[in-house]
Amino acid sequence: MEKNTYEYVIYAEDKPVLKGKNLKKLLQEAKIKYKGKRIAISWNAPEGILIA
Amino acid sequence: MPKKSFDYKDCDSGIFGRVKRPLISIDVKSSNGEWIHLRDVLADTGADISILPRDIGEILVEDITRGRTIELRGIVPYAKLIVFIHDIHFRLNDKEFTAPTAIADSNDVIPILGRTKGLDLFEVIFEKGKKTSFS
Repeated sequence: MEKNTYEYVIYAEDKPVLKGKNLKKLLQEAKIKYKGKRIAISWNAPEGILIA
Repeated sequence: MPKKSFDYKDCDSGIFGRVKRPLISIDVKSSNGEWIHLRDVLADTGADISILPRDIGEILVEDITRGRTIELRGIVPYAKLIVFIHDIHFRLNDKEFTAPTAIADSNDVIPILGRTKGLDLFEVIFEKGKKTSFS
């Protein structure tokens, strides 16, 4: 499997609470730690020019 | 429908310092009915369809490879991306819609809300590099 260059950031409400590259694990952890709060997924992309 | 606005987000360009991008927040629905909130999704009028990286797709769909397999091409010559097409449910500004979405066989792509059955459902205004507004 290719290397994942993105780091995921998990938010509880509007606050970043967890970071890492294993999204499923991060989400499981967030759902337990921040039960009842709105969980959101974001990411830190490597810097660079984006041409989509 | 009330107007919903998202501020452009400052990002590192790596070449000319900071660059502002029209990144938005949107909800996506998994196959088990759970809504998942995604931040920093690129609103891209240059994209024919919406795109999600594999990790996100695997949360939404039981087996991403069951979707129709196609090769996506972009503006970069010779670059191809293998994707699986799925109908994904989205929610933006209280409007729910289903859009054909390319789930990439890669995590090296950013999530994109493209035109087909996505951006085309809204009046979208890119306000002078500061805000993206949906109504």
